[in-house]
Amino acid sequence: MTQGKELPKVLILEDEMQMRFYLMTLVKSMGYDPILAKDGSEGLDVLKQIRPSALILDIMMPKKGGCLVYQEIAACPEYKDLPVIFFSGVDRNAFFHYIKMLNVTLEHPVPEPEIYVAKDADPEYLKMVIRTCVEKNYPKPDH
Amino acid sequence: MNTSPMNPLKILLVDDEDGIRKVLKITLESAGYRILTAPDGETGLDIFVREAPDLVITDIKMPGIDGIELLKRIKHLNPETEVIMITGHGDMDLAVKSLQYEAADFITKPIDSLDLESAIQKAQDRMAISRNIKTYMEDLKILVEEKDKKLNESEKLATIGQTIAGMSHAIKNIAGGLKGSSFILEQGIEHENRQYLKQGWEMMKGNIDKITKLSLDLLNYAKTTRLNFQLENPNTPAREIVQLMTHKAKEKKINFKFLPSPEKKMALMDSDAIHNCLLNLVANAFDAFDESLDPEGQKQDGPRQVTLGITAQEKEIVYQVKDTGAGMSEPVAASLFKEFITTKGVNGTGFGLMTTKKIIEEHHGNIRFRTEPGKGSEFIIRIPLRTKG
Repeated sequence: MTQGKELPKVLILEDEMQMRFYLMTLVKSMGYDPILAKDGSEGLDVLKQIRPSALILDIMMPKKGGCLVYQEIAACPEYKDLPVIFFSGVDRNAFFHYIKMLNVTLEHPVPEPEIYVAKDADPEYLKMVIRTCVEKNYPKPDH
Repeated sequence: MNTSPMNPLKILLVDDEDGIRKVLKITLESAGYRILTAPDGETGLDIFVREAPDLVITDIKMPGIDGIELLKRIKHLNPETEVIMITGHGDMDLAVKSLQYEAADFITKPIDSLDLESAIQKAQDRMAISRNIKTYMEDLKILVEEKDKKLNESEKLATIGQTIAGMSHAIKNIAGGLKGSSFILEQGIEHENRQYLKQGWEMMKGNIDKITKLSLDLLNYAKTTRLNFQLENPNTPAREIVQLMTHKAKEKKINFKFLPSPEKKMALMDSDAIHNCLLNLVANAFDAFDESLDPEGQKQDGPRQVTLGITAQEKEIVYQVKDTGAGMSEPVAASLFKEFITTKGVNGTGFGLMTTKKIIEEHHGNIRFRTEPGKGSEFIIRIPLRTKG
């Protein structure tokens, strides 16, 4: 990374302090700039000010959980290209089932989430997922 | 109720005409039936009550209690008894009326022995059918009861399924925490970063505590199905908690107050199980002062107090665990006793409260709480005061 050039930002929405610290360390170790928020509403506020290259989203958080955040992001065309990485201890099947059930009640159904990483996934796997998202989305220097 | 020679069908024959009684008695007895006779309705009714015959054959026209009246009374006493009416030639109206009162059949005078035999046979068939229906209904009842039992069992299995789902969630979170802390520690070693080492180490210790607690919680949860109720002083399990937690209170700089009940009432309870409930609530109350719940340190200056109080009221024992800690936000509070959500969280697995609730319910009591973010929480256990099982 050349000095002065802005690092790709990764927004981390996670309510648990230690988990947040872990994700921060992980993102930092990849050479990206971690931005932390401890619940959904705080995360959405941050999103209004900065444009991250990827979003790591915990599902169960107080105030506003990950699914509600996802629903709001999906409703905004400006976030169309923002990759969302669901990172949770919720069982994968239970989560996808929940999204399906949620869609039944919504006027504008949300797209099925593309990326789900279990909370007990290996850090190397999580890094690979984050890198794929960021590189896909990160504007090329000559862009 | 069978026609084998060992136990012949018992028939009561009621007719005011001596001749008919005698002839019919001889005919029927030679056909293998056991015959009781009565010359009028009153006597017939007496014999019916005393002897409980399987079948009654009665003349319709009799002085005193006539055949229709006798039929009505017999059907009232025992609706399952079959009654065959004997009618004269011009008695068609009465015969039809008797059928309305559920007579099995009627035969006309002069009596043809074949007609009589066939009427008795039909009545016997009807008795056999209603016996079968009765047996069938009883079988059905047993079947329904068995299905109900199976349904209850499957409900129990569903609860176990939920428990396992909650457990898997808790374990996944702990595994995630351990992997995360290892990563932070590795980074700390690689970059000689003291803050990383410290944070990673704290996180690892926290997750080791969590898995230890989870295994204890699961053990306690399993134990709730075989509680051992004995007469106890309700202060005893609480006093043990005070001894156990006083050291930790000092360590965490918490003012831990114990307010035992002054009354010497004994209550029927499983002391060990109540001990576990109180331990869980007090440990939770202590955790309410953890900095991780309050990263901004807003509450650091407030009073740090946990109270464990017991009151013996007329009809119940009340345990109260109150803290001045972080309190809970509304969504967290709302999902409190539901394991799927509570397994989330910094300080535990969520099984503790589930177990506590189950134990209290086994004691026919209830558990309620009040909480306010930034102000603290209060849990109240009420157990009905029982002195006998």
